[in-house]
Amino acid sequence: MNWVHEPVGIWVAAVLGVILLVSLAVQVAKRRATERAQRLSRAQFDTLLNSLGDGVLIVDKDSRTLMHNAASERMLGPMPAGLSAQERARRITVRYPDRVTPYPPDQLPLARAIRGESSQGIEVFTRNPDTGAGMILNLTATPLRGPDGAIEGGVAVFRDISEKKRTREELERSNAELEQFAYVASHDLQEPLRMVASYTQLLKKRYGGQLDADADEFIQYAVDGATRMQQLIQDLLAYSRVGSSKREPKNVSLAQVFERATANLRAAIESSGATVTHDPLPDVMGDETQLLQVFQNLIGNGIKYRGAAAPRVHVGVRRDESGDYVFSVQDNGIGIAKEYFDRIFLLFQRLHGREDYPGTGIGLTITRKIVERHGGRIWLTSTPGEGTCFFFTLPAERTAWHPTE
Amino acid sequence: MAPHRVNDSTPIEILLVEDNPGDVRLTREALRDAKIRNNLSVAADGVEAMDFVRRHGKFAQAPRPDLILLDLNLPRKSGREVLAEIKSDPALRRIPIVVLTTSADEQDIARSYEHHANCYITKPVDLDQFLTVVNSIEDFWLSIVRLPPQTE
Repeated sequence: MNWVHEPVGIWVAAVLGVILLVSLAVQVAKRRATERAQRLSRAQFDTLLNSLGDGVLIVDKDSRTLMHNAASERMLGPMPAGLSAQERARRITVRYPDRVTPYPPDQLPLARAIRGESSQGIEVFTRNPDTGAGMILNLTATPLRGPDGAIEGGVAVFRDISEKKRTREELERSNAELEQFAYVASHDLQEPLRMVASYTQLLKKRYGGQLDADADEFIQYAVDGATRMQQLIQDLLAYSRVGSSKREPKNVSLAQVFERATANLRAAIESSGATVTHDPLPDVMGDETQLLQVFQNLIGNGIKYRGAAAPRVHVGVRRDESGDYVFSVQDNGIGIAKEYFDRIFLLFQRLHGREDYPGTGIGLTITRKIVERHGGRIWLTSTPGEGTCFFFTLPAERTAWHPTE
Repeated sequence: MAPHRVNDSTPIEILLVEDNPGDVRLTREALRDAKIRNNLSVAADGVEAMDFVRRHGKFAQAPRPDLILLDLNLPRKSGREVLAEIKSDPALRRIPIVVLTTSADEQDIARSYEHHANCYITKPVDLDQFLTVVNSIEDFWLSIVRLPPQTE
């Protein structure tokens, strides 16, 4: 064939060639773009992983290390890819939180994950292989599944909770010490106090009026002091017992609690001519004995701190926006000035002398502790000379128990 | 020794097992004005208490108690052990035992009755109440109640 005499053929070949080249170029460009996109998405992934505070360790289905993040490296040291489970175990010993018992390797969360079992919140003790620093980790591990659902590996996420655990242990130890103190107070302190109180009273009985007036006065002060100290110790014990009570919350009929409280207050109600009324009261979850203390204290105060008129106390209840119960104890008594609203809840703080109104100033302190332990709050409104209204909430659901308070 | 009965003018023998001398004295004071004549002996710990009722050693001439007032918290041997020992001894278990202790612990109460304490009293903190309690013990156990005849 004669090339020069076939211009159409050349053009076709040329055009075809250009098309081929362009398509090649486009393919290369596309592939490069995909690669760049993958690199970018991979970079985002890496940045995300490495900025997490929690450690992340990913293994394949043979439990060989695939990747780990910066936090993991900080806590457990570097982990080259491909590291087997045995090699990991050799570098990093894992024990139960008692720091002594070795953790069976097949029970470790990652080992369970590649068998298909997720686990959450598992606590283990381990040491940083470089610094030797011990730490308690909280681990969560999940199986990694492919698009067909088959297990391809496992992901472990873990956090150093040493600080939190230490704080919790200190709190438990401090609570145990407080309980022990309360026990000592109840037995060992009371006995010598009984001696002082009994013998000063015996002195008064036997020699009162036989010595001079000064002696009688001295003895009286001694007797008063001893008696008051006994009451203070009883009250302190009652206060410490609020937190240490180990009773599980049960269903409590507040209607019945109200009846018991008013029965206990019968003498005060009769002698003051008080009228105590109530709205229909619901059932709640809680400690019946403690809730009785709350009602008895608040209703009792409404009667005790009365004005000239016969006391009228009303216990009301409504529900607030979150569904919690809001109780109110309204009285027509002497009222409380606003500047004392915080003070009255403090231990042994009173606004009146012992001669004016009896009491040690522990009632509201205990009441507040009980309310807060049940997950509620307590506050008040008051107009001096007209009356006071105490409000407290109790959650309608199973109470948010705060055993450490 | 010939057995004696409540109607005689012979005094009732009371054994107080108590380690606190202050409490011993208080009990003595309270029983002093009792309507029924009584003779109070004291054992200061659980070992002495058992020696007394068994008439061992220096207690060879000790009177057989008609009534025992027993504190629980004692040195050397606790009142709980004394209670268990006396109430499991056929020769001694007739003797009424009134547990008189500072403890208000529910476990202590339950266990005392389980070991056949005749009754359990928590010592009141207030003097007047304490005196009333001791007088009540005396009223009840010495005047109202018929005490068992001696077993010899």
